Amino acid sequence: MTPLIEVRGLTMRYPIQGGFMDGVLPGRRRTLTALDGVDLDIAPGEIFSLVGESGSGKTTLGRALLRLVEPTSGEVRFRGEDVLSMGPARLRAARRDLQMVFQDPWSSLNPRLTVGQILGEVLHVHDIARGAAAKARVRELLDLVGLPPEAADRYPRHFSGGQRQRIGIARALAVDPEIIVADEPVSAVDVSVQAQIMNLLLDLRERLGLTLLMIAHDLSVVRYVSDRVAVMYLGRIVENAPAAEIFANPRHPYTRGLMAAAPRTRPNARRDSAAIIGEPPSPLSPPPGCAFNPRCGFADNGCRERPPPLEDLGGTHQVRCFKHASVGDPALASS
Amino acid sequence: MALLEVRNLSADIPTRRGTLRAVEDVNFSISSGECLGIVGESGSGKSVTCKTILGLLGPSVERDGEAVFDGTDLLSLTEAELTRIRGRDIAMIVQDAVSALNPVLRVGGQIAEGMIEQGVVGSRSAAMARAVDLMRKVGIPSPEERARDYPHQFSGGMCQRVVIATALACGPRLLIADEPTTALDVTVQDQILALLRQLQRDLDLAVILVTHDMGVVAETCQRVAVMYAGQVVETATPAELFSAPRHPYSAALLDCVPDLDAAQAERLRPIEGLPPDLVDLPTGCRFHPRCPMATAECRSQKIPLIDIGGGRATRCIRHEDMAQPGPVSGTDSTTAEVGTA
Repeated sequence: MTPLIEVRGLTMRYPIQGGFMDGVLPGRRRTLTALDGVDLDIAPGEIFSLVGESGSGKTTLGRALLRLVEPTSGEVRFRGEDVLSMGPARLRAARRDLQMVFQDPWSSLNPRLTVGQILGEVLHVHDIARGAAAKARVRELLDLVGLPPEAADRYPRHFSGGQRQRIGIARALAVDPEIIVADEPVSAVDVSVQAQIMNLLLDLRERLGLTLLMIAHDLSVVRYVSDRVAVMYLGRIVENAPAAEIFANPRHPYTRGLMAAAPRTRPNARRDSAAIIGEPPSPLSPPPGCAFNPRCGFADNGCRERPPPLEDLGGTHQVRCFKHASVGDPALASS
Repeated sequence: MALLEVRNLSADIPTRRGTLRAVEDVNFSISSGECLGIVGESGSGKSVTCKTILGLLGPSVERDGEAVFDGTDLLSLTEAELTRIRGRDIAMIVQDAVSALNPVLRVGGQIAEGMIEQGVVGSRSAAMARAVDLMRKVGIPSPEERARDYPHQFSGGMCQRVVIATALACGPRLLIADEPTTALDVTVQDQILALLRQLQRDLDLAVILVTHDMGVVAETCQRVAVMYAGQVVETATPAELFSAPRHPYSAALLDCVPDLDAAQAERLRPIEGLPPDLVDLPTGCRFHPRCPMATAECRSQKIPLIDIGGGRATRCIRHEDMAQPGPVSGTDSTTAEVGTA
């Protein structure tokens, strides 16, 4: 199947604002590499999750796909068309197909507008519907996300966190998009509400054939909804595989460590003691070689000298690790 | 003997809309060397319970009940008497470690401050030396140099270690940890929880761990109290709670969490509806509007916390029906897991 989104070599560097002389004196200008040569494909109808710790670049990647930030280099193709070279008019039209749901349902809705106005605004901006037609579409959207029609006349403050997240999803759906980038859609809501929102996303995919790129850090949530998972570390994808495969057979030490670190509700469920030591290094001064080597139990001199390439293990399972054979070795997996 | 025994604790907060019953009829006890988890969703009263015990809520809040710490009822103490206990016998750490620290003071000085204030050390230099020791104990590398750094020079996880060191400075017997790992990444959370477990063992500390994360409870606590709408609805050991919950809310909450170690065969069953408005509470059981097992009695009758033996208690009159596997909604899948765990 042709991918809906193709990303090749996507790189994002931010210049760091230091002291006022930094721009003048040579050699003092520093850059932060948020994304470093990211490649990925998202198939139509797929729920693709990006996981990683804070600072791994997952949010930047999501935003770069929609050009909410301008990448430094690389390619993003949407249905074969280069998103990064689109002019303003073409980009605006393309955004009818590319929408975003934000993490914080408290700050992502305008408190001075009613829900009807928030949704109506999108319909107006994209010239989709006005007047009575817009009102009807707002009711339809509310129904789609499980809110009553009366919600249209109320303000965001009248709703709970979970309901606000539904409003955010309705706003993204207003333009009938092909793909939604959802940045931590359930991390700001309570556990009981999390399940409601995840089920809503699964329903929407079924009913509307939506494609979803979900940014998340909670692995149990990721396992529940995803078809494919990519793990990011310090701006790079270190492992990318179908969800069932990556949870059953993680081949990057970082993926394994993340899974081991997640707390389990079933007593004695934890089998893997591959605890990760230390904290992620600063993206301003990444270590030489593999960025994960200072925290890795498998690292040797080779890992400290050069960065490993993203290797194909077959069956669309890719991993960026010299040691992937030992990591996947069942004899070592319980060590 | 229990180090802290909380009996019939309640806290009423006056608001413009009327009195908000943030906490009502909360009972629990904790002994030295024990970790008690208080778990619940936002607004369930878990943080308010802790702050009520320590008298941190201000004079407008009406408190009732008892919190007996080592023979003294904390609720009857004056502010001056409480100040002698807070930070010395009972310490608290909070979720947002970065903002809990003063950004313009070096961390070593912040750790030492409480010791000087409470008079537990003879001199400033002794306090500083102990601060460096504490930093080493909580796993901060090169503590001598790091003591002279400012909070912004530390990562989130390291800031939480500094806060823990500050909490331990005066040798407390009870540590209240309010969502200590919620703001941290999962690998760092793992490290901080391991540190708390180790300190609890080494120092024979009693720890109250407030969290919304069932997984954190499972890995850290010996006992757990589940809170809903200001009340404790169930107390049990984590193993008992996860394998055979005896309150429908606990069961439903566990059903909402997807399993990381197995592919989900069917859809999760979220809890329908929302928690009640604490200003306008439902009659009878507070969970009845969302409960699949609710009867007429649940809707009309005030439900007490019922001792069901074996150190367990539940605020549900149908708890015996929950003990049987089968038709009860929400319990079948969790009981099924017991055999495999």
